[in-house]
Parts: sequence; C-alpha cells; structure tokens
Amino acid sequence: MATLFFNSELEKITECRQISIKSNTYRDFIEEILNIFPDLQGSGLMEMALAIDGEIIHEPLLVAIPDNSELHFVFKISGG
Amino acid sequence: MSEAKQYKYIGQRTIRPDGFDKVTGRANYGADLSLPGMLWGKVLRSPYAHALITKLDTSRAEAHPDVLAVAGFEDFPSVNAEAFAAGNGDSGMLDLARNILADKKVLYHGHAIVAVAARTEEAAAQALQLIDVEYEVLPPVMSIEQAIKEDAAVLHEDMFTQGLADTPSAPSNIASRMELKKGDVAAGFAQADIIVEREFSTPTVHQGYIEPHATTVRFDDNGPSMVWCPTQGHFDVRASTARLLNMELGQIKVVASEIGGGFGGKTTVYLEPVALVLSRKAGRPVKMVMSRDEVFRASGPASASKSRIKIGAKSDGTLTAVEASLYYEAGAFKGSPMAPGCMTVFTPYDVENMWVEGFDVVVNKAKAAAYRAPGAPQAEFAAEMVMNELAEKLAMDPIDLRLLNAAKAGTQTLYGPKLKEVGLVQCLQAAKTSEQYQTVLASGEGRGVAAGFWFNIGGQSSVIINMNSDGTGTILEGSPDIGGSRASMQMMAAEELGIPLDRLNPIVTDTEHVAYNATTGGSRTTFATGMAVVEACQDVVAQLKSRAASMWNVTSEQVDWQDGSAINLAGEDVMTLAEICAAAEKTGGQISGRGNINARGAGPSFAVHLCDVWVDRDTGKTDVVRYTAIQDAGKAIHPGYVEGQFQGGAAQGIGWALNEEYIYDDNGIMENAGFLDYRVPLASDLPSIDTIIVEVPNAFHPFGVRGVGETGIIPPLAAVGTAVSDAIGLPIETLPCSPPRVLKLLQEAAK
Repeated sequence: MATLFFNSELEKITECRQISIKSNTYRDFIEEILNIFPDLQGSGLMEMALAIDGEIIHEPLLVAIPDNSELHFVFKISGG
Repeated sequence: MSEAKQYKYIGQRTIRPDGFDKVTGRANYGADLSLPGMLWGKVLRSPYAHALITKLDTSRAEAHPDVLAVAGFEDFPSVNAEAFAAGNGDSGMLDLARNILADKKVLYHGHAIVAVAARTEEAAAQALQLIDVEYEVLPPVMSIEQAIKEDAAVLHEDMFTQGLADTPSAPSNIASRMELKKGDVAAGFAQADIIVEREFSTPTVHQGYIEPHATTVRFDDNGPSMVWCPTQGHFDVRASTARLLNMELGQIKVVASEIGGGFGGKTTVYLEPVALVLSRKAGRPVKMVMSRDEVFRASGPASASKSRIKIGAKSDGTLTAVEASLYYEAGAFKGSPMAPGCMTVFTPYDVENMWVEGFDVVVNKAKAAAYRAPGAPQAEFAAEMVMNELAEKLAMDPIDLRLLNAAKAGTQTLYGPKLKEVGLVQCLQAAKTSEQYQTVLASGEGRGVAAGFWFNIGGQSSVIINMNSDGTGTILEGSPDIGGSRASMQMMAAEELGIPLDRLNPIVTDTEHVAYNATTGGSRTTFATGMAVVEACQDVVAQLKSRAASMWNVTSEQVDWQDGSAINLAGEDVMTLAEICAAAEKTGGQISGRGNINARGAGPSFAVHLCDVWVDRDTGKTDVVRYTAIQDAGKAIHPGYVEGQFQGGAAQGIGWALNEEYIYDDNGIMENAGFLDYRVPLASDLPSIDTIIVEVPNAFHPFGVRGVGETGIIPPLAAVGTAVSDAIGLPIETLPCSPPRVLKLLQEAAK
C-alpha cells in the first residue's frame, strides 16, 4: 500500500491529510481517490504533477505506484 | 554511479560550436531576416494605463496608399466574439489574445491595440497616426496595496478570487490565493526563544535581454506558413499561434533564430500571431521588431512583490517555525509566479512547522513573464533577509545557522515530497572555507550571505543524430541554445559515441525536423535534451554494432562498443565508427538515431552566495567589492558555461538588488523605459564574480546533471541587501538599494 499525502489546498476538499492507496497504477489510483473524494474532480488534480518518493513526474499517466511509496500531488513548475 | 567514471569530454572546457559566428557577427538574430516583398508591421499602443476603448476607427489608416493590412483583436478567431457566441471560443487563450491585442479595454500603458502592415517602416508609423481611438480613462491600479483595497478599481469584472473558503460575491483584483502548511506553526512559535518578523517589497524588473522581440513571417495557404523569431521555445510559439488563429500545427513552421538573451522573457508570444494575421491579409511577408521602449512597456517583466516573513528559533539557532504571506503582481492578467514562490520560500531549511499563503494580484502593468526561477527570488529574498537578521540577533555565524537547519536528503518540503540527495550542505561548507569568507572586511564594508533553491524540471525533448558516410554526424535538436547548450549536447554525444567533438555538428533545427521540444526554460535543457541526446546516441551505437556484426557475420550480442569502435568479441576484429559508416550503404543505408523522451527525475539545485559591498555614505551608491557564487551543478558538463550561468545569474540578481526597477508616474506611465534610465549592471559595475562548482550528482541523469540556469539569480537579492544593511548599519526592507533610497535611509537615520 502506498500513502498519498494531500497538500493544504487539496486538504480543504478531502478534510484529511493522508490516505492509504491500494492501486498499483496511476490510472487506477486516480479512480480510487476520486471514488473516495468525488469533489477532487474539479480541483485541477489531473493538471498536477505526481511525486513518487520524491521524484516529481509531470506526466504520470503510465507510471506504476510502488508499494510503500510516498505520493504527493505537486503544482507543475515551468521556469524562465 | 556516474561520478566515479572518468570522462574524455564531459567536464572539459571546449570551444563552443556557435562561438565563431557570434563573435564575427555572422550569426542571424531575430531582426536580421528580410524577405522579398516584405512589409513592416507596427503596433498602436495605449497611452493610458487603464481605460475603456470607446471608439476605434482604422479607416483612415486603411486608406493610406502604403498600408496593406490592419489587425485587431477580432482577428483572433479562436477567441473573438463570434467564436464564443457559437460556443467554440478558447477561454484558455483569451488572456493571451487580450494581451497581444486589447479587447475593448486597455490595461497598461503600451498595451497593444491594433497593428498595421505597410510597405515601409515609415509608412507603418505614419499609419498609426491615422488610427482614431477614443478612451474613457479609468484610475490606474499600480501597486499591490492599491489593488487589494476594498474600493480599488477592478481590472476585470469577471475575475473572482479563487482559493477562498467562501465563494466571493464581488470581483476582485486578487486572482487567487493558495496556502501550504506543515506541522503546527502556532506550537512552533510557542517553542521559539526568538522570533523575527519583517515585511519586504521588491520592484517590477525586466529580464534586460539585449535583443528586442522580433519576427518575420510569411503566411502561406498552400504549405506551412513560416515564422522566424528569437524565442526560447519555437514549438510553443507554433502551438500558441496555431491555437489563436485556429490553424493546425502542421500549417505553421517556426524557425528559432539565434537569441540575444531571454532569461524567461522569450517564453511567450507577442508579435508572431499578429504578424501572421497581417501577412495573411496582405498576402506578403511581414516583419515586426519591437523598439526598446516597447520591450520595456509591453513585454513581460518579473513581478513586483510584497511579503511578510516570520521565523522563530531556539537560542541555539534551531528553527522551530516559519511563516510567510507573499503577494505577487501578475500585471494586467492573472498568472504571477506566486505558486513557485510559496513552494520555494523556505525550501533551503528543514523546519517542522511551516505555513505560507500566496496571492496572485492583477495591476495595470504589462503581464508578468517568467524570469530565471520565476517567483523564487522575491520570496527567498525576504526569507534570507530574516535568516541573516536572526543570525545577527543570535550572535551566530550566518553560515552556521544555515548549516544547522539546512535541507538535505530526506527533508520534507513544504510543497510535498521529501528531497533526494541535494548539495546545500556542501555549498554552505564551500562558502565557509572560500577565499572571500576568509577575507576580513575593510572599514565601511558590509557582508551578506544567502542561500537559494530552485526545483529544475525535465519535460519533452527530441533529438535525431544523422551519421554521414565519413563518420561525421549531425545532432538535430529542438532546444534553442540560450546558454551554451549546443556545446554540452556535442560533448555528451561525443562521450557516448566515443568520437572527437569536431566530428559532431549540433544544430538547433526548426519545428519540422525533430518532434516536439518543450521550451528552453526551467533549467531543463542540459538535463532533458541531454538525456535525449544520450538516448539517440545509444540508438546509433546499437545500429553501429548491428552493422559491424553483419559484416563480421556474428550476432550483435557478440559485438561490444568501446571508445568509438566496434569490438568483435568472437574474434579480434575492430572496426571504427567511421569505417562502419563508410560501409553503411552496403549494410542497409546510412545510420540515424533518435531520442524522444519526457524526462523525469530533474535534480533540484541549491546555491549559496557571498557578497561584500562598500557604500558611499555621501551619495548612497553601493559598490560590490567581492562576490562568490557557489552552486550544486550535479555534474558540470562544460564547467566554463556552468560558471557563466552562475555569474550571469549573480549579475542579474545584483542588478535587481541594487538599481533595477520600473518607475511609474501617478498616471501609471513608465518613466524609465530605456537602458539609460533602467540601470542594469555594466561590466564596470561589477567585480570579478568568483565561482565554486559543487557536484552532488543527480542519480536520474546519465552524467549526473542538475539544471544550473536559474538558481543563481535567487541568492543575490538577500546577499546584496544584507551586505548593504551591514555596511550602513540600517535594516533594508525595500529593493532596490539604489543610491537615492540608501541615501534617504542614511539621512533619516542621521536626524
């Protein structure tokens, strides 16, 4: 099981700081958390990057979710 | 891991492939291209900072005998009124379109209203005088303080603050609020033996690139329309232009010219879509070049900011809680770098309790654009100033205070994930033992120390390497070279292939010869495009081994690749890359390798800067007398160009701290729109900037690369600000520390 941590902005919707995640793929993971927190649908979640154990992945569609990993949604960064 | 490996080319100070053309003037920049039958495009700009357009009549200009086309907001079919009425409007592009050509309302002095194309530059300028515009002038909103007042004039009646707990009922100049927190700051401050809280402000500044925005275009119904321009991202110029004009990507070909500086300011479009509209209407090529005045007034500067920072610590220096409120000016349209500011402000430190809020605020200034590490310099300036004050109050060495609290592998960041291996501690240690830090200050001098953090990014890059029959090769890449990246691509390819540098020619190609490349920015190019180069080289090597195997009548697995040659493991044969390429015609045709990636694993970069200044107490003028920039590069592919990035960032940050600012009159008119009055540092203003490259490899890159282009602009603001404060014995809360401002501080203190 991976652990998903919500930042303060998402926590306003989920009203919890972290949850355990059963899914092993990003697509299943998104489906899983949207089932638990339907209001996340309009939160811009799908536009955010996903950090898995500290590695920030801007396009996580095809990534696997490793067991015991730490997950964070992160605002996408561009640069100058 | 790569750090143990000895490299032949990586880490050398080679000659840059584009150097000769640039020093001899042969390189072609944005304004250098001319085409037969070309027209000149010019833009009518708003004389007011905030006004409704009550009448716009271009008929007299259109009647001018040399005018062939006029373009306005309604010529953007994806966002015009008809598109929205039909339900086809592109709301995502609306602000971009409104910034390029105003829609019924002008939102800053210099805001483009309408463009003309004429046979000569002079005729185009004359035609602008024939355009009749009437305005209803509105009060300008020129600062964060003005913008957030309850009774402030509202720039956008349809803008309601996002991110509030309760849905607002009235429009506001605050586009959005965000909040990040970790731990319990109230409890953290309760544990503190000392708390320092200060407010700061930073000005609107420009990237100060020497080359103005320019473009030459040729619309073509029968093939791809051509766009030539200096840009950090020609694929994104193509995408924005295509979306605005309802064109397909394949209908536009963008060629990136050489670029005379960008620093984030050339990551968006201003002229290109307008020129293409004019060219379509006129049936001729069109060239547009901004004047320096236009660049200052109407291209995107970096956001001005206001901030409040509060830091609590135990008496031994251990930080117990940090808190920040950060306000960023977005300019006329929402979208300041408030979010990265919130995410970076305290990242150099491992603190249990953190709370940050950020506000994106619109004002009647040009829409802000990216500038090296967008958002971070403003936020980290404020935090680092307070860290230095805290060190002073605790009677601690400021580097020791930072070492005690430094972020390291495993530190939980405020923005979410834990850091992997990073080099802040190593940078701080290098700073402490540096020659400058060991130098005793002379009388009247002051010293400042500051750290900086930037994420760095990866993203999409595509590279093709075509080998020739004589063993030379061409590296086709799509990342405009704004800092010596052609050299680093050449070096990485030479290292991978095992052939001399001069056998490989790196070319930044147009949007048709390689697949999509993300814009050069975010310190991504040496990291991400470098990974694509390595992947393309591996593809080439696989083919070289296969061709050698076919000639030796063995399997590819029986062939090894070493130092530019195939080795037959089943015998004693050796075949060089050039020999395999010479025989390629007989073994299946010439060899070409590809690397198409969406790079992950960008390594964050930390920096520490030291600044010593001397302040003339009679004039308020500050001289930087010593400066050292220390930064973690992961692995410096070309140390000379890495040092150049450190020095460039430092120089721009020193300018931001000491002199640069947009100065407006009461009506919102910029008064210093030129390099005589907008004072960037000259070579004669700066000492030799010493550099120390720290190398803590990024495990996700084949050579260990982290980006280096942006972090270097973050620490100078607080390093300089603290040094000036130290020299004059007075707190600095407002940048720039320009002579008038410092003199005023000294005079007020003397009263």
